[in-house]
Amino acid sequence: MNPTDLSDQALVTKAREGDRTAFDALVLRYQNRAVLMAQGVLKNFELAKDASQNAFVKAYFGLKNFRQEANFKTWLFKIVLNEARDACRKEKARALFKFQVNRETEEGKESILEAVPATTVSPREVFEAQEAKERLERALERLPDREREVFILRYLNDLSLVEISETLGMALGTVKAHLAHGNERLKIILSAQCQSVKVRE
Amino acid sequence: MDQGNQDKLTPELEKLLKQVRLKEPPKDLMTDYAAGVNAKIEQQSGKPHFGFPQVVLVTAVGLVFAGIFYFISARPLTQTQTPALQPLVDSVTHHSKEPFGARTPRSTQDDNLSEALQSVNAPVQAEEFSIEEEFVLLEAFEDEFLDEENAVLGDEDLFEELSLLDELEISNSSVISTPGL
Repeated sequence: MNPTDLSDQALVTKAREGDRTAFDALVLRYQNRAVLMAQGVLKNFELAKDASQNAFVKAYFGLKNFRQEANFKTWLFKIVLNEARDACRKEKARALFKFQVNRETEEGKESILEAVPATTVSPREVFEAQEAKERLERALERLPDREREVFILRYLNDLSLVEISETLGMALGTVKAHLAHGNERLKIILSAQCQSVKVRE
Repeated sequence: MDQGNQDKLTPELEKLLKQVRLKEPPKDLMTDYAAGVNAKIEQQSGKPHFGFPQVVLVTAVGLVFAGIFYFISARPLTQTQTPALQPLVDSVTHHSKEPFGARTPRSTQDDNLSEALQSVNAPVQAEEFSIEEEFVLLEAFEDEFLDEENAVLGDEDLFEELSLLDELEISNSSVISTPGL
């Protein structure tokens, strides 16, 4: 049977027994999302790739302690986020030793969003989609870290609230509160952006 | 229902989210991703892992060995050699703890001391004492003066009187022991 057709639970069981192809199938299944999740924190593809790979290594060695009834996806994402945050802290510490402002760091920040390809080739739609992407990015940057994380996991990663609470290690009520506050703040930020555009026009 | 309240997006936000998605990582840069993970796993498997449990285990084993070494090498030194000195120490300690006013005559003191010396089997002078044994002897010979005694010692007149009494005792004992008198 093709490992890619098996469920997470079945693959985890095989991987715990020492089946490396089963673990490779899990890597293949979640590598893109792991990199994206790490990139949301690190804003750099290479760092995100390295951090997410380290997370998979930790997951491999931690499989023996993994409870079968737990959700592998959220467990893995939790490790990815922790690795990404650790890498972010190390990068910030290294940046402290640089005695001049490194503009490359600012320019090296990569976007984690892209415009959804338009169904038509209308230039207007392409332009609007690009503008939407930039607006949302600017608005998300102004959110507090936790609210931004919850928002991205919910609406861009399509995780449920329970999965978000398991991934971030916070209570469900706290996740709901962050989500509600984040939505409220984005509403204010986006309306302020609209008003500033109107004033310019 | 609860989920509905938190998930209630404004129409503007809903429209934005429809036009945007997470950017997929570049495919050409992800071709070696799984191989990279496997390489890191092999690297980690090869090197010895010194985690917290290993550190605790090594520390505990080291403490056990240190304790065993201490009991084997250090304690017998204090146990085997002190019994020979114990009667002497006890005798001297007994004299040093006597109240200052109740002084036994010198002749009696000398007799007691010689008895104590004879009771020691090993020739004390022939042996070299360890540092611990020396401290034991020093403590035994050290006079413990009470506060009243310290106050008296400061009085020079009384001190002279006491030395005179000592001389009288000595002369009396020498008169007694001289034959013919």
